[in-house]
Amino acid sequence: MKTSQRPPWMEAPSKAGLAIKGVVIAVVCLLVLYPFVNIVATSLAGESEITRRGGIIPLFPSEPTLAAYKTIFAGGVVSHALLVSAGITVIGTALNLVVTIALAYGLSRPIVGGRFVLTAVLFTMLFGAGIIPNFLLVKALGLYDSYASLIVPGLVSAFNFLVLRNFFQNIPAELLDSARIDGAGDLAILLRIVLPLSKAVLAVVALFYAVGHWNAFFNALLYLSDTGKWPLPLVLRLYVLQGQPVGGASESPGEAVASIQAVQMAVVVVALVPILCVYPFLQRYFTKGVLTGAIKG
Amino acid sequence: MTTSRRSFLRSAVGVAVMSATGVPTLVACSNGSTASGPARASSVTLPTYVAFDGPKPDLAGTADGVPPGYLTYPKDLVTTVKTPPLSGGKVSVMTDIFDPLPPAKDKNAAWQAVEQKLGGTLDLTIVPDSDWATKFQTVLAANELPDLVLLSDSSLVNNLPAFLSAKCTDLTPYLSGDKVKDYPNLANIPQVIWQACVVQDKIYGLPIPRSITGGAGFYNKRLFDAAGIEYPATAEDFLAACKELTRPQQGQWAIVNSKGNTFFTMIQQMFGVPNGWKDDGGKLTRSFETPEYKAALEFAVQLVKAGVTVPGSDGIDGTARKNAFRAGKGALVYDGFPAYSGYVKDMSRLDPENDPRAFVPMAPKGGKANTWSDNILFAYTLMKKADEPRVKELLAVANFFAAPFGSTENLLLTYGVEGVDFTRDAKGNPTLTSKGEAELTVPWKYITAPPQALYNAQFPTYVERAHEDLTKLIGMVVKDPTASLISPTNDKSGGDIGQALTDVRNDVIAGRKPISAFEAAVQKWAKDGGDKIRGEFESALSGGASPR
Amino acid sequence: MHRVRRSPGRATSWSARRAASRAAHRGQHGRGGPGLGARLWRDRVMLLLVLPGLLFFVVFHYVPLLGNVIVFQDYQPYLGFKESPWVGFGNFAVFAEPDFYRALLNTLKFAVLQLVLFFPAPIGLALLLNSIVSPKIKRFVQSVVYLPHFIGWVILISISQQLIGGTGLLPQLLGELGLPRVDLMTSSGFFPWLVTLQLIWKDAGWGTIIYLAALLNIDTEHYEAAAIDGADRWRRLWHVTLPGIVPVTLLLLILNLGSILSVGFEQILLQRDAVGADAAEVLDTYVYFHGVLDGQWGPAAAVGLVKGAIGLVLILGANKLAHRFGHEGIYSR
Repeated sequence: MKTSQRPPWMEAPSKAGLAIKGVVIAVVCLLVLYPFVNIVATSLAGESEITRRGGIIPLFPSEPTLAAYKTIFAGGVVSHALLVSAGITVIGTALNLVVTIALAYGLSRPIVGGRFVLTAVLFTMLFGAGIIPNFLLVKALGLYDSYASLIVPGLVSAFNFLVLRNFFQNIPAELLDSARIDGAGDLAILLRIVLPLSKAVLAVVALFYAVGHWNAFFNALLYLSDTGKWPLPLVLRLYVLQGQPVGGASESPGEAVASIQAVQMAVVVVALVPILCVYPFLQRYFTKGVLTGAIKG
Repeated sequence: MTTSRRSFLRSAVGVAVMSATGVPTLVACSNGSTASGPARASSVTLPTYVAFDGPKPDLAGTADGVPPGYLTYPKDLVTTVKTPPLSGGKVSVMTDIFDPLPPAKDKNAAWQAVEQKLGGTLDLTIVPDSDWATKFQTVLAANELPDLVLLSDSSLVNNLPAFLSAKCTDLTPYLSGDKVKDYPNLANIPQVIWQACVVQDKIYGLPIPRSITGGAGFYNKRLFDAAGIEYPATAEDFLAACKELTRPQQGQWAIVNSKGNTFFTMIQQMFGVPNGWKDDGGKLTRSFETPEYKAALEFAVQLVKAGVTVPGSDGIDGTARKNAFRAGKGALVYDGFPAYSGYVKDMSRLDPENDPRAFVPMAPKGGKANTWSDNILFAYTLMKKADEPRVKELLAVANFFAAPFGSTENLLLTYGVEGVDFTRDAKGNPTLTSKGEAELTVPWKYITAPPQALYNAQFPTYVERAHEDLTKLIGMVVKDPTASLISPTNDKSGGDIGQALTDVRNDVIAGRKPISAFEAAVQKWAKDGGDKIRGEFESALSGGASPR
Repeated sequence: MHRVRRSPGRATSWSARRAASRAAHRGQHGRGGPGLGARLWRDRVMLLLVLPGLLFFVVFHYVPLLGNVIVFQDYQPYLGFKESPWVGFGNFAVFAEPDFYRALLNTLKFAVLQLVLFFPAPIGLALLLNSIVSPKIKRFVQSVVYLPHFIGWVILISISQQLIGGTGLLPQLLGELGLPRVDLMTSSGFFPWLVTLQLIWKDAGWGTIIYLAALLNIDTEHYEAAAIDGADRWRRLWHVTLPGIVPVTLLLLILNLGSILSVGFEQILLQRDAVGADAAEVLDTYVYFHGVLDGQWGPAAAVGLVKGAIGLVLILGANKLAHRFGHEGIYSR
């Protein structure tokens, strides 16, 4: 007997309803996945085939080759940048979370000056200073050409902060009141009640920050001069934008040469794969927050 | 000097946006375009030209700028730099890159070998070309100029003469006339190129020379032959040939266009449109105000209407454009002359029958075609203000990087360390290993460079053809009379009002607006600042000091 | 104590109750309530938690904000803030150009389309995903739908051109079927729709993340209770699900309004030449061509300032409106 995953209160859908839902989901998945099939296929295709087919491989390359990937990883520059990016993402996200959680929780209920701080933060979402003042500041603080310049200027995202605060505010008041009655202080409430109940939104905010770090190149462009510190997106950017074919002078006859389109597509794949690997781990946290110890009832 | 790289050769758009005053970046360009040629006698004495006494080329170069050609790599290389320029010190440079990032210094044998020859440390701040504007302006604002910095687009600095005199070294006392003989490799650079480094009668820039003209594009002879078409003799024949070459069922069209209607440059040169401005005894007319331009525009509209351009190609970027031409989607393309060897290499790999050739523009009946001197330099490098001994040291460093083709230094800078970065083939020509390919993308070719030489071991016929083509093209060159002149209004809003006009021109060519809209736009341009710019250039031309 | 609530969206939230109890307290302790010192002490933990974040914003956002002085200057980077000449309101001349209003009109057109089509897309998608019962399928579809977010615009548009552009797959297919070969990427009429559709493809899936998190937090008891009361799936959707995501939807809507005049820069810049400036010029590209490219930072900053001011007005207005309907918005009452 098949165990139904359906909760008891949910009635089974009609056959027609199920069919329609299935079709819609399938169409959505297809629309999203098809270009990715193109991307992966093109990244594995040889130059002559790409040229013959007009620049993109619809489904499968007839003579797959890893030439594009070999080109990208030649010289060790990309591998090094991958490590740099990974490090920045992990450390950066951890710092982001700590400060943002503190700020969001601190402002989630009315406190002295709370409204003022909230307005101040909101304001920063609308008015920016631009590149030059930020650069001057980073220089003045001595952060130029350091990894810190990639993390500290973006320590808190006002958007992520607002999202987190919104979720904190919507935690039912009874749970907090009972804890307060039991004598718990603000910090204890944060750690024992608010955070465990917020697993999903914490995972979301962590994901946003992590992806932000992984894809970020602009701060690196401005604040780094040592190319050994370049993160992955900045290095890959040169492949995407250069407009010139790579390789070719030294290939042994018969070995496929990577065409620039294949390399550009391979760049997308290389940037994407680590995220795809990490995402399943995050999905584990993407569940309903559970309180340890019953409070209800 | 009005260097502008916001020009026809756009290979890709790279953009970065940042907050409220987001400053996105400039369009990338694999070859710069610089107008040149003084309209009045410059009062500066240019560096004396002393030709490099090195291996004899198979095809001689000329003083006009036709490069020498070598069919095989020279055997007897000359060492031009006997003592290392630095004595343990450091030189910091900020420059452009169009290639993939090289391995960092500590992993890069070629970089280390160059430092050894320099006798000191070479600190390169490498900036992706598409992000150049952002980084340059930021560094400028923070007063963080390195010793040597590329001036990739002078329109980024609004008051160039003021900026140069405030922050950069005037090199005239060190290089003018016979002084340049202290730096033999710099003396090897022809005067026509040094002229392009002059701003208000002072030499500020260290050049990265190119082949004078960017040419008028390329055509694939294989497709012409397959359609049984001879190379057109007139513009009318050209139109007929394009129609013949357009076979949509076979996925083939005549012209590959790209963003900004790059093919229009080809057409303009066919109709003899002046380079930037036309000087009629002191009176200046802007190129798009001339009847030749109007004729070219009408012709372009005709071409597009006839459907001979690859559909949708007015929206594609430089990469897609190159690929379309390589794939045979179009028989003609506009691309800078330096792209020639790349096309030859790639297209013969795809199909040995492919035969890309330089397009020499043909005039309409009764007209005269020309080419523009729009590729004299890639750009030039500025030197930060420094004291005399330091300036001499930095000039010696520049001298090292300008080592000409046929010198040992040039071999090192192009091919790296023998055995590690390159090996010799059966004929003794150097061939890069895969390590070498990765390592040699260090962009020192954009610090200072020697005059270009034509060399291609794999395709010696390319060398012969390119030499022949450049001789023809340079023979048709017309100069921009305003090249070394300054117009403050042009610096401030030239790009702005020019863009509005370009937008209308693009609409006209695409068929979205009639030609009368263009004429109205030209009048608006004149009113919005064009006349003012004209006035400023004219007074600079008439021998008065340039304003400011 | 087991309370059944009909509409969880109306549950008294933490902050609202706190505010209510403070009002009550105020009555008890006299006007003004407990003194400032006492309140600081009571809130000390919270204030300490807030401090690092606040410090960050002051140093890295407010200090650089002083740089907006260039709005009134003819700023040249090599002269710096101190020596660049002052031009008063000269930089605002950019608002007098007719081309500026063409850009503004296009911006509004795109903004409305994005608000109407792109804003609801993640919500609908999230509801659809949420209704998938099998966890395996749900997780698979979730992962798939996030992927497009990671493709940069340069690649996306290149793929776009190869699929639906002039010589792409779509026209080829149409040609083979005997239909007219349509080039969607150079059609100025279709352009606003093209931009919006591209945006939906790229970011709708990513946008579902927040909504899915909100949907997760809806207490299943509410569903049970509604089902017991006889509600079918559509009534449950209306009475339980939708109210459950109202707070986060409102938050995102309000924030969206704040940046409504930024309709996309890189995406539009890359395709501007294909359709012409009349169809494609928006505020950000206008500022780029008429300010930034010439090294004119002042006008760019001026436009940025005005955009920010408009955004602020919209956010505050929307927030007030949300309060009218009994919701929290960004600020609590």
